[in-house]
Amino acid sequence: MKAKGENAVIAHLDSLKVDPELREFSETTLAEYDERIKELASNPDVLKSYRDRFETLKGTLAKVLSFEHLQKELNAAESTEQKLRLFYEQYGRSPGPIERKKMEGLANRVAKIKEELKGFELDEATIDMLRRREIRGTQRDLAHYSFAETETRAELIREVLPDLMQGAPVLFQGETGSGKTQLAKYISQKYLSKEPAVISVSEQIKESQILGARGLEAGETIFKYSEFVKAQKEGRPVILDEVNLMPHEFAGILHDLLQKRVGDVWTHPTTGEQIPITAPIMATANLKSERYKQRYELDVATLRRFIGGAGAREIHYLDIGKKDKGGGYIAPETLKVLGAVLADRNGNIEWDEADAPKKQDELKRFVAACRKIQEDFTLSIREGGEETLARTDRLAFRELVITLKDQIEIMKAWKASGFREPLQEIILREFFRKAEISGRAAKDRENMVRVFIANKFFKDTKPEDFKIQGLAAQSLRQWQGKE
Amino acid sequence: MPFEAYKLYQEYEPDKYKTSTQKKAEGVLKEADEMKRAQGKETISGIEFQEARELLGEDLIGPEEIEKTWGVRPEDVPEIPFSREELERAKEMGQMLVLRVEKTEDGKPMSLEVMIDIIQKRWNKEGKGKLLYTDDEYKNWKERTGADFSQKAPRAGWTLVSRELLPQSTSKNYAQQTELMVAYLKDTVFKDMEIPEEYEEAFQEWEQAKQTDKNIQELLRNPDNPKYDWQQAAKELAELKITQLTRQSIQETIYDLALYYDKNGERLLPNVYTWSNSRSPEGELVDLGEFDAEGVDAGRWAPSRRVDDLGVLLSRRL
Repeated sequence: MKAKGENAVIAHLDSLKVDPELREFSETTLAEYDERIKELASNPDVLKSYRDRFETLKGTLAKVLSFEHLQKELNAAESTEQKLRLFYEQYGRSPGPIERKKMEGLANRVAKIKEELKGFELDEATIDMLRRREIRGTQRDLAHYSFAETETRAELIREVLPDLMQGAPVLFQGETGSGKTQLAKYISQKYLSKEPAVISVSEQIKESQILGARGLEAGETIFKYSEFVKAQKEGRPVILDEVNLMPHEFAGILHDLLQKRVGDVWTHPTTGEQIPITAPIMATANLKSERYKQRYELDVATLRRFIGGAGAREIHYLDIGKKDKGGGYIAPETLKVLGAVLADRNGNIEWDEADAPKKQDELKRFVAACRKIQEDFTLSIREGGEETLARTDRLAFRELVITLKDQIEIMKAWKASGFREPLQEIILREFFRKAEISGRAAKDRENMVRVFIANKFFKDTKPEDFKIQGLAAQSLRQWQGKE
Repeated sequence: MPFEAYKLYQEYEPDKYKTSTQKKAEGVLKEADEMKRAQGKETISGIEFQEARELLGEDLIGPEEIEKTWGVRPEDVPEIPFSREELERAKEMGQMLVLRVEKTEDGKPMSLEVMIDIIQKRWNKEGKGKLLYTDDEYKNWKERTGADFSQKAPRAGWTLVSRELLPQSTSKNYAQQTELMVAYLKDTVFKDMEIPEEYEEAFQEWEQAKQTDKNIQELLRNPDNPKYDWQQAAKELAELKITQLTRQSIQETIYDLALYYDKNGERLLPNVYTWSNSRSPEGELVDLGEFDAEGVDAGRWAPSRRVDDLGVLLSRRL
């Protein structure tokens, strides 16, 4: 183009619809900037100031990394030591001299790290960076795994991981939406570095879905293994979702598999193929109400096999049962997750200073309302009968609950609105209006509205805005304190 | 200026990260605390105690109140043996947490005689009325209850005591009250909690007694006209583990009522009685109550008696 001359350049710019004047402006502006940078770069005071700033940041980062490293090492050492101790207690055997030395070494290391951490010089800047990195870590987990490893979940993972690595099975039991399946997937992807095979169990599950089935390929009869068996062959963990629905006729196959550990061989009942076990089975089960207990309860023999493995662990909604010193309900882990959703990659939420207290209050009331719904739902599931609930200020939730995932979606939408819309509008749009609810579940939705109103939301919202069939205007006015 | 997301929850993690200055300040405070302890000036400063104080407010009667009422500062204050969850539940159920001591400042047993000596003069001066109801010094009281005035003291330690009678515990005989107490403990006090071993044992002993002890069976099955050995029954019932764990002795009732009134200006059991675990010399079981300006009244009954103002306070120890 250079060879063709200036006209060609102008013609080209025309075709790109770029204003030559603008081009000129940009070029002059950029040239000015270049000049300014040159000037500044030759100014020793500016250079020093930049150098100092980066040196400080570098120093803080180095401190943060050493601190995090020590913390991780402490967790690992403590959990290994505890695991060994439990092992010897469980089997009633005393450790031998080599094992004793190993345990002693671990105990010494734990003591030493604790001492180092105690003496660690933490200043405000380092703490600020540590906390921002935590937020960033949660954001990464949410983006990659749709799961946040909060303290309680991390604790649980630390407890089950050594057994899982030995191929022992684990069962996660909990209320719907408490994150059981996500937890299993997370462990598999992050800690076992394997993509799991997720098998949704139902009462109608067929043998072919568990073991595989015969089929034809190029005119020949072959046996096509199921996803379940394929995963076993490939050394990938298997997640049996809602294992409590597994029909009893498959109990034998399941029990056989649940007893295997890494290094064992499982013989496929149809093909007779010897499949070496290299990954664990993780299972989930919903905690059901008393009414459904008989139908859904996991049989004792299966349960025993999990207990003999990495355990049958209960997973509840985050922060359930947590209270502050004054007895008020608190939700630190939920706030941590939601804070990470609301924040940018630097750990900041775009609330201006004047608005921040109001927004913070809105958020905390929202979390409090969700907590209350989850608490009452959990209680309804555990206790069942309506009479029990009628004696207290608790509300009965039979089918619907607001999960952490729902809360995250609401937060995402709030953030996307640039926090300009009031949170209650987002809750209405992203939660209540997403699905029109009728039947038995409508009562649950009504109760949710009551909880939100008790937390100072929806003071003037009209009944039709909730999209709940049968929601009486009079009841709503009563809850809103208007009648 | 944007808002740092961690500010949403950092208040709930006060111990997670601390600056060097904070650590130093804590170290200095801890040292000072230990020095105080060593000098015997301060005997309790555990977080549990502070937490319990914040949680229970006027319903915690601890070392300060004891010093104010009985003039004794306990040398070693035991740790509160109840969890936060238990205390929260106790608060909901209208219970107070009382620290009982068994010795006075000069090492004598905290007997009824001593309690009266310490308190009555001051109460007279302050116009607070009497501790024990009697028209002839304490003779009548002694005669009615047969209480040991000079030696027997409350059992030392932290105890959760209900401020009001156990619901539906009046108009019941002693065995029926015990049955009610066991049910209340199982269904309400320990609901969804781990039951302490001593209580498990006490429950088992009670179940055993119900199946094997003729007197207790008679009191439970035929309360209108029990055919039983009342002295034997009173002895058995008073000695049961559950009775010893959950009912006050005469001395403990007086101790608790005096402390609560002295601290809060409110007389508990103003028009009802609680059946204690103490027996009169003849073998009846002693009841105490109707605490008004004339003092705490006392009486005694055979275990089969059912009186409409006689119930039981829960006094739970570990």
